[in-house]
Amino acid sequence: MTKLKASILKYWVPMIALLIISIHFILVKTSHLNKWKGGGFGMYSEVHYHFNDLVIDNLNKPLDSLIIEDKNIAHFVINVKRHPNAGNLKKMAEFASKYVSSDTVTIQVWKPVIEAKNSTYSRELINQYQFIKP
Amino acid sequence: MNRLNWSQIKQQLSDRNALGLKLLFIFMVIYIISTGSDHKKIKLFLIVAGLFLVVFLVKKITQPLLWYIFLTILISDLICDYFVRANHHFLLIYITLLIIIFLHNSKLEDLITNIKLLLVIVLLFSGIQKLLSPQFISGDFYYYMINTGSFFKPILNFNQDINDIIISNKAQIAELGILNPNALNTVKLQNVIPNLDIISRVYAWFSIAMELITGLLILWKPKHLFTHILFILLILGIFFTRLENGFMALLAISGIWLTNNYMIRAIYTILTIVFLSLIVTHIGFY
Repeated sequence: MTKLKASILKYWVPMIALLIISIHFILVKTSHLNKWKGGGFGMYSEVHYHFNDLVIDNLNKPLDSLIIEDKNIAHFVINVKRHPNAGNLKKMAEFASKYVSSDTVTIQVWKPVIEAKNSTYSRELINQYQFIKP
Repeated sequence: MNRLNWSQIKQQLSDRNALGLKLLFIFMVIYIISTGSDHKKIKLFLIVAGLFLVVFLVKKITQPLLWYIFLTILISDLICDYFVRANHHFLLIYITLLIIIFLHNSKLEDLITNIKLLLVIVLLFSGIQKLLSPQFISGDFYYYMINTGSFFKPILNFNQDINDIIISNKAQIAELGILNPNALNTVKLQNVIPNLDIISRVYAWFSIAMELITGLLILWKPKHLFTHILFILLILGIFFTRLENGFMALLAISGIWLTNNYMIRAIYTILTIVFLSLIVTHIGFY
């Protein structure tokens, strides 16, 4: 027991690193966190989240224009691409709702899918959320 | 003025702790100034205050207060933007914590063992993450990055034909990006070199093997010359693939604490200087 205590006191910094890595793995598994972030050393293990696509249905103007016009949306786009969990998707849907003509806001995040064998590039849905306007 | 000679350089290289601390100090200043636009004013104020503290008051970088200032800046950055920070930001925090502990207890062996364990963790988990990624082990990740010009930039962009293919592939992907993904469209990419699918798969498995073997060797034989040759080759491999200067500099600085070999320490020092110069000149990433 004393030996264990001594080891913990001596090596608590690498232990914290392992704890942070464990949290990263849990977030990747349970809430779609991109592997590049969260201190899990998963950089370069998959295509960067920058290349993910964010789709919001029934916008009354293109998303690119909204990113220029609306600071909230501009700031939050990359957060949603990086971590498309329900909370972030809902927040983005709330920001975008005033630009959506329908009563519901459907928001999706897609990631690139590459097949080297067939030289193809396509996209796959990571997560989506439907927000009903209040 | 003293002329620079080998014995002077050797003297600098002989104290791994002083050398590592000096390089880490320079890295820290450059990294904090280079990173993030958020909270830049308070960060710059603190770093300038810290530098004045070193130059005029304590005149040495072994003053713990200085490293507490660095740690405060790094941790507040992490708290504000946890999911934005790069993986080497986490590594830098861990190393700063170790330096602070060392400056209080002066146990160099503990510092070296902890840096070794951190490097092992970084390399093994980098390898494991790749091993767990179907996109990586299939070679699809490298295939995409190479065909869109994100890797081997200086080498590939030099050839006009390859450059044209990269531009065409990027244009195709951009066109697809405008379409609604629910239509499930697919585009066909052109290869910048023949048999890129096979080359990508082989390179993927080679990368995993390099990270895992180097990690295990650092754990098993941290001072051995072969371990450090492999570690340097790994750093150079990353350098030629993608200019991740900040991460590579931090790996090289960590390597200084592990080796007893002067020549290897000199190589780590030169690599660190190159990577730091690239950060300052905005070539590659910080």
